[in-house]
Amino acid sequence: MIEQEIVEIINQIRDNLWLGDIRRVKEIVTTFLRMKESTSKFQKSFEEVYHSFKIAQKRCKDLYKEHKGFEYELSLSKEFREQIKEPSKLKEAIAGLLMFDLEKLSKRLEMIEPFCEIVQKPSYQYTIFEYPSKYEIRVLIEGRVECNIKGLVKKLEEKGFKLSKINERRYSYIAAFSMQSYIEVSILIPKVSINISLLTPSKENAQELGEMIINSLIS
Amino acid sequence: MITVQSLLDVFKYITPLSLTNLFLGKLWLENIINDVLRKRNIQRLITLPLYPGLLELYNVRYTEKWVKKIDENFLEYHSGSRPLLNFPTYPLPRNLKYLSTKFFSGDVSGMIAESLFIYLLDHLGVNVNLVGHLRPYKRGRAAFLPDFVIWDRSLVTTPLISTSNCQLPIYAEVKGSTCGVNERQLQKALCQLSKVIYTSQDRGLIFIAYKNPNYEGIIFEVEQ
Repeated sequence: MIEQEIVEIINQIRDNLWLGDIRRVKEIVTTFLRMKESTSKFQKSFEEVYHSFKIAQKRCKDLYKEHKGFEYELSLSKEFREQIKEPSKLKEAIAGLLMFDLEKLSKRLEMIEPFCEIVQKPSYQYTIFEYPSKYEIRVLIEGRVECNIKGLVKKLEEKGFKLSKINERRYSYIAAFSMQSYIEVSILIPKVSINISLLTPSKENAQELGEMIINSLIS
Repeated sequence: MITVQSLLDVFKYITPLSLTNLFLGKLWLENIINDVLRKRNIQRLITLPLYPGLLELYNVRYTEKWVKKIDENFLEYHSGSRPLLNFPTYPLPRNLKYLSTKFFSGDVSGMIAESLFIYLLDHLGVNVNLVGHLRPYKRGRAAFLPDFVIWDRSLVTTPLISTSNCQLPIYAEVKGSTCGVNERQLQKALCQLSKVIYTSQDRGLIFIAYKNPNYEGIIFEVEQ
């Protein structure tokens, strides 16, 4: 169903925007819009529903001038409901609105060049943001992956880190520290956020630590 | 092991709210709010543990703005600690006030509520990839839409919805407050949902995160 599909696409786009992967976002938007020949039907439904809403607003202003606050909202809802002859149009209107938004996003993205380097790995990709001596690594994991929290904990302990952890069904959080660094890892698949503070600033060391964490996590 | 300091109790109002009662006016809404405040006609649905770093990952995807370190904001809002802003030493222009009287932002409390709502859905096993966040579009041409649209059928098997005979999508309105829950929030949410709920098979949800004195959440199921 296209209404469902577009919601998934939007969420996928938001994940990639978080990562900073403009190229991938462009790809997702273009592929989706190219594949969907029926976008106009949904966009038309949105225009129809929007038009009904405008009429309801106008009627409300004319008929219930004295209504304010709750009374006005109530009258507006009543007028709007009377204008909607086919409630199924509302679902289509939501999809249509999101399609309009994707088109706008696609145009805006034409003017934006990729602004950060995305490191591609076989089952994940990541970006590193530098605020020396702090580094933020945003990781997006592809596909369905079981997270090996025990493996990650073991690996960090082997590397001499003292750590605290929370491991729940869907979410894991690890705080690890050594004489040289402090690391926070938040894991909510498909997103992993790693914040690293180093005593001696080094992007290479932060990157190495980040990759070690992800590789242990998905091994 | 890290000890979890914050827990969020989420309650559900037992009787689904019928939109036809909306025309009964304020008295009906006041009775519902009185029930909530006196813990009548509500059941404890779940107690959500709030872990560090968790809300931010939901915030990134499902709210209008990304509030960095929203988890720390949540802890401050939760405990009610109010960090004061420094007063500049130079005099103010006439008729202007310092922002230092504003402790909490409605924007941030709204985003905390939206993140908590998605966390609740995820915790109950709803596929959050099928949840669309429509709030950003409401400022523009889509003022008639609710905050969220949920396309996952499994929502029907959760205690949030009391009937299996309902159709997708399920719409949701979310309100956040750093004070208590009140009828104004409920009113606004119901009016918004009344624009999209038309048939006996349509369902809506209202989630309000409010302070009593710490954060609590209440879910209302809404029907035609």
